[in-house]
Amino acid sequence: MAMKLRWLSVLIMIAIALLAPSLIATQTYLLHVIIVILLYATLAQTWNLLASYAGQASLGQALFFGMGAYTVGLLTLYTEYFRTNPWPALILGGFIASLLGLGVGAICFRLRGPYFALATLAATEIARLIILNTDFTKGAIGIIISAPPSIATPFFVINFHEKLPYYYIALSLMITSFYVVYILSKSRYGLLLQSIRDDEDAAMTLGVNTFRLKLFTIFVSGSIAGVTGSLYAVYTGFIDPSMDPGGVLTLFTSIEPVIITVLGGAGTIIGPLIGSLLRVGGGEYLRILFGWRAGMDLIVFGVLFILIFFYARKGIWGSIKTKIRLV
Amino acid sequence: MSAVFDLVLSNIVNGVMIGVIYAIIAMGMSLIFGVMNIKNLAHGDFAVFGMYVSYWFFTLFNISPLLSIPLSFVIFFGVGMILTRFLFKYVIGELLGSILLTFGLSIVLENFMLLIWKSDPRKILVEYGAFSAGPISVGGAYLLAFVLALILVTLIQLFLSKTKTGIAIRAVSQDAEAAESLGLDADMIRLIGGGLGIALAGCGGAILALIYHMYPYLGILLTLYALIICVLAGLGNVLGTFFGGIIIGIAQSVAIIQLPYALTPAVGFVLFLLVLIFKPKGLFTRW
Repeated sequence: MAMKLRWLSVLIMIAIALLAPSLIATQTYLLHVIIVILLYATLAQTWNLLASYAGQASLGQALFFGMGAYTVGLLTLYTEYFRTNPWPALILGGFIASLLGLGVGAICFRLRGPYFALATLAATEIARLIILNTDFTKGAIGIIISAPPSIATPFFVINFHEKLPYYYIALSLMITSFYVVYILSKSRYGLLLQSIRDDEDAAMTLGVNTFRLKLFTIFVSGSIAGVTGSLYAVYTGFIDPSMDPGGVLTLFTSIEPVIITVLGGAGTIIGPLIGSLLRVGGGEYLRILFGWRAGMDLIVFGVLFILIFFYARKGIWGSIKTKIRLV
Repeated sequence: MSAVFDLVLSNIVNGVMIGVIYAIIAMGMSLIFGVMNIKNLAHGDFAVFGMYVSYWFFTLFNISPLLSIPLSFVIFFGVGMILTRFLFKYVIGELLGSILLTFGLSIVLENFMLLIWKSDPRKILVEYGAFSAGPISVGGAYLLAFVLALILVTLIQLFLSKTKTGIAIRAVSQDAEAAESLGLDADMIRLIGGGLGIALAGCGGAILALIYHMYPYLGILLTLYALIICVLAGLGNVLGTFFGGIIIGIAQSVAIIQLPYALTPAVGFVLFLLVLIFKPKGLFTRW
């Protein structure tokens, strides 16, 4: 019964998500904020999988995100084919990010806890500095993903003049990623991941191939983060390695999914979405309130974040969940 | 041959000088990591804050930047104690908790500085002349900063090895529970260690202000440098950070001969990764 209720509520939510935006299709700003919320929720979910389920607190999600973005950026910059048809570039972005995930994992999974976090951070910084200083990648100038010539239908080139189609693409990406993480967490594989998170040595002793499991996890996490980054690049039309904030390879971009997941509730499926609503939506609201002076809104955000962090250590959804269980 | 050799030598000397200043900032981070097991991602921001404090003392009250070094030490010691008491204390030993808390703090600090001092780079304009010995020429401010940094490192080292409080800080870093069971007041030690850690960041910043431009976003770079140095030395190893700082300083100023300027931090990160992978306990595992 409870299971049916849960699926029903999920279906209702999806139905609302599918229908509601057509009512606000003319309010471009609102729709833009919602699209960014969806993209960041997806990115946060990839971190959630890696950190909350497998216990590998990565500080390098920006690496996958940024590599996805740069794959699309470079492909559309240098090849005629992808400029007129960015769809395969999105997939390639995810593919390259997942390969990179395997590479990073193979090196960094020798380390644990804080050392793993620092190693992923270092890998991201190296990638950022290389992209920043290479002419091929346009360095600090960044890449403008130019609007394709209108020889094909708009859907084919993902260059819509209105925001609504982007909303649906971002929404389907988010639903897919949430579904993937949900299925993984409920399966045997999810239990194995939990065993790694709780006690890696014990899991190893019991015959769990922890290294291969962790590699698979970072592969999945990296590929989704890569596709998200690719979509972000196509959507915003401009990428830059290190402008702060907003550069795709900065420490800020790596920590953003951590903040979002922890705000919403780490280790819950819906947490990243709630966190993203709070972080992105709240952040935009603060910018409207305090934007008259550069930096003011982020000070308020930082203070609020520290307060929320102290009063709801399990995040918003995590706290609600424990309350419901107690009742 | 000799022109290249002179260039390399000159860069090594400069690298050592800048490295010791980085080492001071990293020492603070190492201390905080030691006594509280917290990775302070706001550390570099405190250093930049120290630079701005020194800048303000100079421009508003005409206080010599040399005098503001001890002044900033005192100010940031207080700040560090307050932070330890009201914030750091609650995330002791938590990896994610400490990262998130200090990153939040970093956002607040960075934007606070942006609010007050705007984003344009500033510099304390004092001339200290220049010195040259043979092929090597060194700016007076560099030499001064280097000497001050050396004095500070020596003092800290003496404090940690000779005084009772210093030894207690090391004891808590090594095993807090054992130290407590032997009758040490770990909370008090953490308060002092946290104060000292932030004080070293602020003070290192004040020294750095002698030679560097300051801008609000510099903090993240200094934090990363400090992290690299700490890992090179072994997390929590305070004396090792001295050599770690020098290694990073030399590596970067030698790399600058071949690599473009902005790429030099990458050398540090490659070193960092290599050390993490092959010697995760750090290059200098003893105190």
